[in-house]
Amino acid sequence: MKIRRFLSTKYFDQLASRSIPILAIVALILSSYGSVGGLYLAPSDYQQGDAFRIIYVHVPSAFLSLLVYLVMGLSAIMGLIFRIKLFDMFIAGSVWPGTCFTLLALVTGCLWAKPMWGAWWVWDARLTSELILLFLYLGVLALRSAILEPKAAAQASAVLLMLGLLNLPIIHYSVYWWNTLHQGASIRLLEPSLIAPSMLYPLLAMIAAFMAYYLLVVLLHVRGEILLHTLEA
Amino acid sequence: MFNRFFFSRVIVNLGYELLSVCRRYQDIVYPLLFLIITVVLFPLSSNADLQAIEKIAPGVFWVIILFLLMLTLEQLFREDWQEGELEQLILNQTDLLSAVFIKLFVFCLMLAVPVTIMAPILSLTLSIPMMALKTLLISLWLGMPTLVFLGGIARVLTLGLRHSGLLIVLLVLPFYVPVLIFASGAVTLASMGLAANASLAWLGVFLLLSVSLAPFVISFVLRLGISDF
Repeated sequence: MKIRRFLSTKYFDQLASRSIPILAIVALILSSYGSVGGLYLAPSDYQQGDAFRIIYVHVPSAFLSLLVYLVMGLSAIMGLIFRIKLFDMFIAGSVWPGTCFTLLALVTGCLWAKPMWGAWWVWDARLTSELILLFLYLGVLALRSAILEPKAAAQASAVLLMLGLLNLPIIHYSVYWWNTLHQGASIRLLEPSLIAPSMLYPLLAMIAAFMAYYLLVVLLHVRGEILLHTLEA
Repeated sequence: MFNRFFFSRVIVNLGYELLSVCRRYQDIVYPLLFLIITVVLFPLSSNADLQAIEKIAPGVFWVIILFLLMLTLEQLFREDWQEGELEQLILNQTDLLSAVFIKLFVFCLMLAVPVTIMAPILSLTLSIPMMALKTLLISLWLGMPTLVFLGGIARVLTLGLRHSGLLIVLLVLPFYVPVLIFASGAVTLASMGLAANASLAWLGVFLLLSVSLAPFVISFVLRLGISDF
């Protein structure tokens, strides 16, 4: 099966139409396990009590905010080098979800921090760089809305997205590079995680559910844009 | 591009740009006046509470420099674009890179000269101690080219749009934040008598990266702008 076929809008439309129901079911199952497991089944934390459960929204949305920007940035590079229209559609469909995920991560972080650690906001490295990420998203939104010609808007926002990719390693490694207040990474890929399994598995399920939801939203948007292009052509 | 006439082409271009700046004294005098007026606003607004100003003075100075850039970045390529000169430059494949670099360099000089002249007086107004003046000047000379070259990228992305002034600011401020943090950090350390070498070194990193890579991005965006999509 040649994968490069799916870069054309016709084949991708078929792939998307088949994937959307599957993604919806997957997102539903994973998020129900994640919510029930996280909000009800997981034991309450030793130090934080039941208030830690906002982690099941905060961590997935923060993870997604980075993942969405990574997807947009890579699509921007591929779209600029190879001039494939599909990648511009990915970017168009990802901008609003990414902004909302970043906003959600920041807001749930503030809501978590005030009762737990006493301050709504501190200017430490990870929070500041996540705020910069929000400004980057808003800048892309502003640029796309300001340029009227859609192809010019896509190219200009692609250049801006590429430049903003530098922020992602800063956010991710900020807890290692600086003396930050934000907690370091508790979930590890190849070693046992620092978090109890009964809390970990719902969290991983919520992250996967958010990813499935994001893919769902993007594919719906891309299908709509493919339809629009087919009508205009 | 790097043939035997490269050096003379660069010198002629540089002379032409400098001459056009020198013929309009407004380009250098207006930033000077802007700096004086805005710096004076801070002691006036805090009832001349010098202790309070002293603590935030380095940050305030650098934020004023950022405001200066935000207000003047709009005129960076504007006249060249409006008179059609920019399109001719873009069509001339060999010289676009050096022309962009020289325009940015001259714009940076145009802003750096008034800032350098006024820096001692302004730092006195803001209660930045004299021992921090050398660090302040070095942070300005390292930071302002970075800001101008990054601003140039935002400028060409929004060339020809209606609200390009504010849009440039929105696009480029996330990239200005690290420069601001390190530059005001350097001056704060120096005003406490500590060594600011680390922060200035980071400013140097940003300077080298932005000055070397921004002209390529700018010429790429300019070529995108007039290509057939």
